[in-house]
Amino acid sequence: MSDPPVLTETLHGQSNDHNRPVTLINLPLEIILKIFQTIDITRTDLLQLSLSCKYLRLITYKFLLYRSVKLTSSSSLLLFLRTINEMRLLLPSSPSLFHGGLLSLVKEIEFHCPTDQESDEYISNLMCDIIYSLPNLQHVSLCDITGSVKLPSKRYGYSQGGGFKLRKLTISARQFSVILLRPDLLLPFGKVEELEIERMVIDSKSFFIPENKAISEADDHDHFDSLSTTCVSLSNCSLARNCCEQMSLCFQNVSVLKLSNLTTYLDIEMFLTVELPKLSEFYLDLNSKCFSGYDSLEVQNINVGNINSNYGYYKSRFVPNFYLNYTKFSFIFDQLSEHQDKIKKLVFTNTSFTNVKPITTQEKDYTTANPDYDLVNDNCAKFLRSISNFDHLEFVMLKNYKLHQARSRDDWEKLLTPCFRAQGGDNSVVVKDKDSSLLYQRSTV
Amino acid sequence: MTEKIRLTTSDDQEFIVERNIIERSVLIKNLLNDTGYDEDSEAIPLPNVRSSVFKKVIEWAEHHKDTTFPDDDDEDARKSAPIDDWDKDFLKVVDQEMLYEIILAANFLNIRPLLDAGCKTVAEMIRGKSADEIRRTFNIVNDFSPDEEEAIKRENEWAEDR
Repeated sequence: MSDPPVLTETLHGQSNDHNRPVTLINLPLEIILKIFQTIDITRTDLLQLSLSCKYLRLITYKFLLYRSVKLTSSSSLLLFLRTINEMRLLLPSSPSLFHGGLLSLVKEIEFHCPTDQESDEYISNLMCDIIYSLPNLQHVSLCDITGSVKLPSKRYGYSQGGGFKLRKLTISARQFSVILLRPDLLLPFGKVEELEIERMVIDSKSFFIPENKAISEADDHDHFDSLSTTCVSLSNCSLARNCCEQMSLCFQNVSVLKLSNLTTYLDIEMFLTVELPKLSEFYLDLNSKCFSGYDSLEVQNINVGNINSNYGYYKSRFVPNFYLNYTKFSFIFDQLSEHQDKIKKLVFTNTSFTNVKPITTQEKDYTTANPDYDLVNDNCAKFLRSISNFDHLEFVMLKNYKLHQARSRDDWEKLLTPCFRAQGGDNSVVVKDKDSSLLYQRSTV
Repeated sequence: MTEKIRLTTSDDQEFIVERNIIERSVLIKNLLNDTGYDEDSEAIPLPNVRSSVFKKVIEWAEHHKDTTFPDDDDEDARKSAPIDDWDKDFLKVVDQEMLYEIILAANFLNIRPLLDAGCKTVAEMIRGKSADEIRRTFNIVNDFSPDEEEAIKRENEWAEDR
């Protein structure tokens, strides 16, 4: 097959030619990509575009089709492996972008364990063969994993040569199932910077304990090297009581811990007991089920004594359940505050302040006897006060805040005052919208 | 009285446009704010935009002078928003070259909603078409040999499988 046109030359030549009529293929690359990335364009459309001419094939391959590959069935795994093997055969004689080079285009690969009849072992082998063949992989996702999936103990890190790091490894169990994390799932991967796990139970058998640091520092290690991991993200995961020490040993270099979709706040308590010596950033999802659930007894308690604390009243105000239930799990935040010296950055994701108001009365006068007492506002202030000693606080909103409720800088300042550190220098407080745009930043001296 | 802004297109045509309308262009809006434009200032040159294209851009901006669009930073909302009916009709009646020039002008002038609408219009022209139909629609020359076409189909079979 003849070589495709070289992208840079093609674009350069066309962009300088003002007299040539504007057509689809001589639009600037950024515009072509914008068109091809609109929601209307499916993978089938991209395939047809790649067949229309060499230039569009170059664009669709390089930036779209082969950049992030998603394989959802055993036949797609087989077909992709066939493509890889054919490319490999062509590599020595034709080092163009589309032959050997095509394999190097793949940066992300996502496997969905198929529900068809193929055995898990067969699928696992196919997945590993594909992973080993792609030299520039940065992110591997293993999705819809079942308890019976075990990856062969080939070494991905080894195959990449010494010093290679996978930027991110994501492992998630099939929806509505929770499975035990086992070392078999991590075995083929050498050094992984960020480990993301979803819907799994971590217990004492989840990881191999590294024997000593010298092994990890060497390039040639024969299993997943947990000491290379600096970020752990756990979504809907639980920690068994007997594994804290093991987690501490395995993740000695973890500096960022992200917890989301927690089902019980006792899991947070467990995670806080894991000794992570380098931990400096902690992310907690405030929209987790564990913060928003309630039982009938609590509803009755809320109803007692004060008309303002009527549960139905609060529901009608659409205030976040987190503040309604806060007293139930406030001890978690007290425990968290014990880590204030170590955790430099505390981030709350999926935060909501909908219809929560600042308290203007003095703290000592703000009791249930006060006619202005409001349980939700009081709990919000208590929550903010409990985290006021952290150096850097960040709240990332649950919804696109700008579209829903507008707060002026002054409003934010009043609401967030309880989390401003009173002594020992100002702390940094930032509020970001869901899309990461800045809503508020505390001016520090 | 509404402030008027003078602009000159690449073919030396001068346009006088109300400030609130031309400020749909983030490029011009920033320029006006940064340079303190007044009635004695020189016309703003638009070296990349022809007068016929600029007329269409102004027509669009006049229609949308009071429209609220999804936030520029909210990529998801912008991607998923369907094309406004008026925009659909507006872009449907122009020929392909004018459509691309409107897209290029929207890109240059930084008018995200018009750029999005233009790109979605082209995407709709691609959607569901075979390679052959795409070539015919966009006047693309097939530079593959039959063997090459077969090879591409084979190497992408994995992507067709669902």
